[in-house]
Amino acid sequence: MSFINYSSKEINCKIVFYGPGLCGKTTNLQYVYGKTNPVAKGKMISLATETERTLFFDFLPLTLGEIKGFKVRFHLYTVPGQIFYDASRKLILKGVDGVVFVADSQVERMEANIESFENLAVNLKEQGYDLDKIPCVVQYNKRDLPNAAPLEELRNLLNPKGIPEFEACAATGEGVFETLKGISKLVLTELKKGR
Amino acid sequence: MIAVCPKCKTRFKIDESKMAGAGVKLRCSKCRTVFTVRKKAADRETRAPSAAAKSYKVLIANSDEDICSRVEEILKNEHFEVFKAYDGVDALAIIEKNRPNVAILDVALPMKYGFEVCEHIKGHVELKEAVKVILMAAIYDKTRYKRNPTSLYGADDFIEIHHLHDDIVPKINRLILSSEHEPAAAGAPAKEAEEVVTREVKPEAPSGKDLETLRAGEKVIDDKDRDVQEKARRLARIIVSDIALYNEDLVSEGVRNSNLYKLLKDDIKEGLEHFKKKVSPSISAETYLKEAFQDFISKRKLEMGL
Repeated sequence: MSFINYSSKEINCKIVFYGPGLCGKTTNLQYVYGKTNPVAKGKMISLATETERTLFFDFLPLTLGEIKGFKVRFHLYTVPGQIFYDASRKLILKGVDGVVFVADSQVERMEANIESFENLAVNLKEQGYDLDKIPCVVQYNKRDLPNAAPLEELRNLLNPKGIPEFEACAATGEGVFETLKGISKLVLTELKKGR
Repeated sequence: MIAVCPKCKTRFKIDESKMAGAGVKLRCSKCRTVFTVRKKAADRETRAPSAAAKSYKVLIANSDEDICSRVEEILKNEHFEVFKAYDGVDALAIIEKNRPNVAILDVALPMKYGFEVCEHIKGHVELKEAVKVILMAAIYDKTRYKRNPTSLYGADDFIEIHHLHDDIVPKINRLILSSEHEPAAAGAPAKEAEEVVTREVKPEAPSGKDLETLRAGEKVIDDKDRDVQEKARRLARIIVSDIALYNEDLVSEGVRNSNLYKLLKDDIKEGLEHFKKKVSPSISAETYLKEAFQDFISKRKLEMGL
């Protein structure tokens, strides 16, 4: 649920990058952070225990315009992808406005993708969200690897409902901003609907 | 046809279509006598020159009925006996009951993914050899995304949907022919014949029993059990894959020095705990994780050339 800061006239939206371990969620975030205007962004914070890593930063896109006089600030989060850390994932999903599901295109990680996607649906449901209704996009990452599964196969397994999807290679930045724009658009549409 | 061992009079059922040329040498599985079985003259004349003889069975499994019908039409023209399934559970049931020579499975079948069906087949002692698998999925327009079939969950080949029309029959023929020539390449014709026989005779007993089980209305329980086990197996594989992913160096060292379990002790403990939380206590976490680890280790050893 977006949080409105009346004093700074900002609407705060929370976007969570979800996906299996080492699929490139953090790489996505780091790329966005690196390319964002320093004036418009907050600090990149890593909430890390010994084995889990969660990254977070917020930024204010300058080109998005305003909604009824309010600027929109995006808070980007990643979840720990490793299968064990479900409790952290649940916690991070609290108050989410949009989800980017980052899939690892490598064929060896196909089961991990499926498991993570199912886990996302379950965890959202526990928080009272419906994966079919919440703004969500899929990013097929690591498209440049030789063992990447064909797009059609990934689509069949992870995106049967045909939500917006993007091919990416987060390490080089390819597709990263396209994905972010995709989710921002959905979140903003949802915001405008609600107000 | 039925062949009788001249010494002990044991009867064997033989699939004539698998007999190369006019006859074949058999070794009796009971008394080990080697003898020759010849085809009847009429049969020899009607034998089709290619692999597309009528007695070869092919399963096509895809959730899209149109695709199934299209493939059925192509294959019937080539005189294959065709089975159709629209989901993974059905596909597996047909495979177990009818033992098709080739199963063409869509990767993303409903109920049970095509690659899970494939893994089930390839992990099954009898099905592994009897059923060749072609995975079907994906239009890949970029050649660099093409994968080596050996990494396709153990499938024997793969096919792209938009090449179905041109590629399907040659691929099936090639697989059927290769499956018949594999034992010959090992250099023992008598052994080859024996395999033909045992493959044909053995499956009948369990499949008949399976049918009775189904009739007795126990299908639901059976499927549920299988489903639970399959999910447990999948979870174990993911846990192992995750542990390996986060510990690449230790994994290489552990596989090379055969001390993987020791090196990853803490992660494995964590994995076990997670597994136990997710599955019913009737499923042994230790067994499933161990199985997944052994699988992983043998694959990794192959990759590392050990």
